[in-house]
Parts: sequence; structure tokens; C-alpha cells
Amino acid sequence: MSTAISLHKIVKNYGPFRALDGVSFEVHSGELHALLGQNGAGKSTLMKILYGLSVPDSGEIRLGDAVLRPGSTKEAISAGLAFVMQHFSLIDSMSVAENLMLGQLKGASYSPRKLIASMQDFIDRNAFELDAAAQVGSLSVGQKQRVEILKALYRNARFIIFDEPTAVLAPHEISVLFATLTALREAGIGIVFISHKLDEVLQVSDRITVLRDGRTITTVNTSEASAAQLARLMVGHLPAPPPARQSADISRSTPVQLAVRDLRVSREDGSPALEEISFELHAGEILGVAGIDGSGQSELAAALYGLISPEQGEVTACVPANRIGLIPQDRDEDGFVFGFSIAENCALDELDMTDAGDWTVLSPQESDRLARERIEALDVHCRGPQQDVAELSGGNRQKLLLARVLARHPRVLIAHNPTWGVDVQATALIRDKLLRQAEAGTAVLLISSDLDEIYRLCDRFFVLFRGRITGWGDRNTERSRVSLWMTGKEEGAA
Amino acid sequence: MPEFAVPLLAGAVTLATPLVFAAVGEIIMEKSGVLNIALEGTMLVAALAAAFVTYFTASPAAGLAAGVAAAVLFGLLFALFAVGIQADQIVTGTAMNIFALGLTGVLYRSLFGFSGTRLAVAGFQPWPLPFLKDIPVIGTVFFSQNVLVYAALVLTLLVAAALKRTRTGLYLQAAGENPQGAEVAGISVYRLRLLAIMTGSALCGLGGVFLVLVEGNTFVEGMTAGRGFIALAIVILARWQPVRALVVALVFGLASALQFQAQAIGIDVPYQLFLALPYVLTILFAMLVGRANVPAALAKPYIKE
Repeated sequence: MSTAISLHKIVKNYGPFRALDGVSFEVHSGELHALLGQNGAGKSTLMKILYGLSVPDSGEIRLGDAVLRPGSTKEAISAGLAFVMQHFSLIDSMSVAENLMLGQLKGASYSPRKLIASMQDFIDRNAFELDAAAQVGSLSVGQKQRVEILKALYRNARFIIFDEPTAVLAPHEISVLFATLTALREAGIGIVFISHKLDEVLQVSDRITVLRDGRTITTVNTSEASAAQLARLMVGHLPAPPPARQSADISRSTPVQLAVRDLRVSREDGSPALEEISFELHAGEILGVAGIDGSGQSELAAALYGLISPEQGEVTACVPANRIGLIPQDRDEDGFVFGFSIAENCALDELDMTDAGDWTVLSPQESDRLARERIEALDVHCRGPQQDVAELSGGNRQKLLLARVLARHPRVLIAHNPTWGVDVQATALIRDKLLRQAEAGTAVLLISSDLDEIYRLCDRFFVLFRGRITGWGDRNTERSRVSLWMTGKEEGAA
Repeated sequence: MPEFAVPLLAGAVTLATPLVFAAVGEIIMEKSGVLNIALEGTMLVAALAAAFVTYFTASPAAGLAAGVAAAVLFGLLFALFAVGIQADQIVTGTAMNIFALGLTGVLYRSLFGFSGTRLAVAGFQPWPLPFLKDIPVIGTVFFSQNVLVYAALVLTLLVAAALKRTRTGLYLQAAGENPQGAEVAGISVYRLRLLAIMTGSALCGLGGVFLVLVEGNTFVEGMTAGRGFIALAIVILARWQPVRALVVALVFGLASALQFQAQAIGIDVPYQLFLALPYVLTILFAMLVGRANVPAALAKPYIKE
């Protein structure tokens, strides 16, 4: 018998911002229901409400006909719900076994050794290849996700929510995940699959619900849906096709702007973050750095920008330091002073660039003018220069950050996941700007965990895995090989 | 073994005991993600309650119960801010330390301050354990003490075992490492942190009781003299492990005991130097040891959406 868990007319406000505006959604057992929408559409918020992690302002959660108490994870769990979050809810310092048992321990005390043995047995029965005694912090992202799935199975979950499960995985890990999802569905488990990737949703789901700006746009059967139709529903109108990059081999002939030789960087705990990294970045090229997040990309960006000093090797810049621009991965943490207005944030750069003394008087008119320039240059949607940056959407913040970096007229531009968490229109604009920069002769290093982005924009790229370069490719390299590089399968003479 | 060694070591154990109580209590709280720097205040409040009740009832046991109860109430007040309204834990802790210093001072003076007589209370007498007390050296150092010293030893082992092998211990650490993760697993972070604060404060209160009923047999304003802060340092040096905290506390106890012994056997060094020794050790150790093993969500209020 098929039961369903459902949300009815959910409303959720964050201050003056209405995140969800009367959204309804349901998932049946044995169904894979995709929740599709852009970043910020309200997908994760909706699922947090379903799971009781967030309290809705109004609306109902039901299991079959029974109404569940909102904001209670306990009720959600006893209704058979499990939630595999994007940033996993595992305890890194504990073993796989302890994580599996979290919230499920029966007696008051337990023996760690016996616990590991019984959990290993459970893992083996489900044919998941994992070591129950391993510390979760030492596992790869793919393995952590499998621990999360096992956690759900262990508590006999009847419905499992997956929040952007493919975002952190390498391509071949994604196919393993999809196989698991299919098996779970066959076993009668209802699955919610949150994603903003059309092709994935079309590939695995039975039904698709599209969410836009906190509203349910439609629910369709996947067999009757087309990519073009879904894209239109997702963004409101079709995004322009991404510009194709023409030039291919300008790199070798143009001057080197940034040279890296035998770079080695260690993390705080002494483990190597980067090893034996060597490459040259030429004027006018876009060099890509592919790889799964956490393979050393952040350390690479920081070392190139001079934020951390390498343990060994050298970074030689052939341009003055203030002509190197960085778009950091964590734009909120590293790119802005929250609580400052747009104008004040822009004034920070200007003070940094000019030889203004410590006590130079800040002219409000001047900083307003600067801010307006940046706002217009990248079409930042805001109320004006005096608006607090914290109030801007992710996409607009990223556009503003890029405008600030471009205002320095950089000759080397390091961009780390510049379109991560950014809506489709802003993504197109940012990519277009990066291409234009390269055409104008800037040397661009694009660090991106989105392989499509690498293929679309880069003249050539290398792949990082655990801090080492495992392969070099260009647009003509087969993706299956790149996927192997991304998980550490090095090739001899490629 | 030189003749002064055994009394020196026995003195070290006595002086280490309040530090052990406070440090182990703090470990419980910090493991759950709560940084309670109001140990000093908690000990003071417990000390005063123990002194009053013992004075009026002449029963150290009643004094002990009152001290622990006062510490738990004080912990509840801290929890109201730190967990209830998710206030900054450092600010709350600082305020509570100052509050406790003022409160105990006022209460003490209003009852005893004007008479000029020193408040003297009965305390716990040494209670040598049969058989164990006859072991050479160790028997005198560890097993000819009073009941609170034994309690400190036993409670340390109990807490260590509880953190490692009980459900509550595991959940407590989950709340301190990844509160959202714990909540997703169906664990109530608020409830666990409240439990941790109450248990930890009770233990810390035993440290305050010890100062009155064993060490001083009186109450003096500000008698904790920074021991709450030394306990905070011990937690870091012990890397959040109760048994290690016991060992580190004994080292501090030894440093304090040295000051008395040195004076007694007439080493010609200014006694202030020895008085400063435990505090100098704290600063030195704190510089040497980093922040390895620190609970990932320590001092971060958990705010449910």
C-alpha cells in the first residue's frame, strides 16, 4: 500500500523576506520525486520544514491523513523520514559505527568494540563497502554520503530527502549514487531529490516539482517533461546559450604572467594540502583547475594570492601585486564586510589601491560614485549604494564582488567557484565577463568544481586530487578520463 | 625517599582536588559545546552556601548538599542565557563571575561581616581507607584523605567512562561537535546542553565545597583565588579528557604544595615566587599546547530555525 508524506500551503518568512509562499508538495513511497529550482528558490527551506528543522509560519505537514507537529525532528523521524543534507550531518570525530547509531542507541551504555562489530555486520549486509571503525573525518565525500544513506536505512526510513546529493561527487560517484537511489526506490522507499541540475533530474526521477521564488510552479511526470520546458519554468525565461570560446592555442605564444614551480603547502595539522604543483599561466588564456571540492583548491588560491606562504617551491608573479585579482570561494566571509553598505565596501578597495594615507577623509559623494560605477558595470540589483551588502542576493553579491575586482584592471584574475550558488542569469553574466577579460589579455585561472564550466570556458585545465595534479586536459579530453583523474587515478603518459 | 616527600605529595593531592572537580565539570560542559568560564563564580557560590549551612546545622553533609544545590542553581542561571536565549557564552560567563563575587561578598558581610569574628565551620575529617592506607607512600598520599578526595577520583573515572561508553555521553559529544547533525539524528541539543551545564556545575560546586569544608574550614571573600581559571587551563592542557585532567591537576597541586614545603624546610627564596608558580605554569602550558581536539562547536550557540 502506498502512503504519502505531504506539505500543504507552507508559508515561511525570514524577516521581511518571504522564502516560501504557500508551497505544497508530496512524495509517495516507492517514488523518486525531484524538487527542481534555482539556488534561493526555497528547496532546502521547504525540506527543512518537512523534517522539522525549521518551523513554518503556517501550513501543515501530513503523513497519510495524520497531521505532524511542525518543528519536531522527533515526529519526522518517527514518521519514517531521513534527511541526507548537502553538508552532511555527521560527527567527524566519531567512528562510522557511532555515527550510524547516533540517536538510535538502545541501552544506556554500550561497548565501542561490540558496536563496531554489529555495525560492520549491518554495513556488509547492505553491501556498502565501508569500515565501521574508520573515523568519519578521514572518509572521502562519497563515502560520507554512503554513511548518511546507511544511517537512514538503519533507522528503517520510509522516506529519504537528498539535498543536492550530486554537488559534491565526482561523475562516476554520481552513477553509483543513482544506482543506489534506484535500488532504494525499488525497495519501496520514497525519495525526495533536491537539485538544480536539469539533466540529472530528468535521468533519475519519476515526478518533478518546480519551485521558483518560493512558489510551486508545477508538478509534472518526468516521462512527459522536456528539458527546455523545465528550464523555462525554473528561471522564468530561457537563459541565453553560453558563449562558446573560439581561441584555442593562444597560450603558448603570450607572455607568462604567473609561474608556479614545485609548490608545496601544508594544512594546519601538518598534512599536505598541495604537493609538486607546477604550471605557468599565460596572458589571455583561461586555465582551469578541476577537481572535487577540498582537493587543495582553496589552498592553491590562497597561495597564489599570497595569503599563505608555501612550505616549498615558489610562485613568481610577473605583474605587480595590486594587479592580481581574487574572487574567493567564500565570498561572504572573504569578500565583504557585512553590515557595511555597498558604498563602504567599494571604498575599502579604493583606499587599498591608491596611496591614500591612513587619515584621508572619505568623501561620501566619491564613494557613492564608485559604488554606482560598480553597480552599473555588472548590473547589480539593489536599492542603491547605501544598501547593506548583507541584504543582496547571492548572485548580486557575486556580481558586485566581480565588479570590484575588475575595477582594479587585474592582469591576473583568480576565480574560485565564481558561479557557485548563483542564479542562471548572473552565472551567464559572470562567465561572459571572464571570457572578455581573457580576450582583453588578462590571465585567468578558473578554479571550479563544475566540470561543465571548465569545459565551456577554459583553454586547458588540470585536475587536482588530494593536492596533486593528476592530469592535464583541454576541451577535447574525454570526460570519463577526467572523472578518473578527479578520484586519483593517475595516468602515466597522457 | 626524603622525609618531606610524603607530606608534600599528600598536600599536592589535597590542593589538586578542587581543581579536578572544576576541570572535570568543565569538560562535561565543553564536550556539549558550552564554554562556561564562570567556574570561579560557581565555586564561590557553592562555597558560601556550604559555609552558611554547615555553620547553622553543624553538619558538613548538609553543607555539601547546599553547596551543590547552589552551584546547580547558578548553572541554571547561566543556561538561561547561554542556551535559553543563545547569548554569547564568554560574555555571560564573565558577567556571572563578577556577579558571584559581588553576591557572595554582600551575603557574607550582611551575616558575619560586622561582628569581626572569623566564621569557623566544621569540616570533613580524614577517613583513611582500610587496607589501602597501609600501602607504603601511596597509602598515605592517596588513601588517608577525606571523602571528597575519594569522590573526585571516582567521579573522574565515572565521567571518563560515561563520555566513552554511554548513550548520553555519545550524544553529548555530538551536540558539541555538530549540533545540527545531532538534531538531524533526533537528539535535542538544548536538552543535552542543559543537562551538561547542570551536571558540570554540580561537579564544579563540589570544588567550592571542598575549599570550605576541607581546606579552609571557613569562608573568605574571593577565596577561589583564580582556581576556576586554572581549571579552565587544565581542561585545555588535558585535551578534554577527564583522566588527563586529573594528572594535570596533580601537577598543579604539586606546584602549590611546593610553596608550603619550601617555606617549611627553610629554602631561602621569596615565598611569593612559589605562590606564583601554579599561575606561571598555567601560562606556560597554555602557550605550549595548541587547540587540538577542541569540540568543533565549542562556544557556538545552537540556534534552531
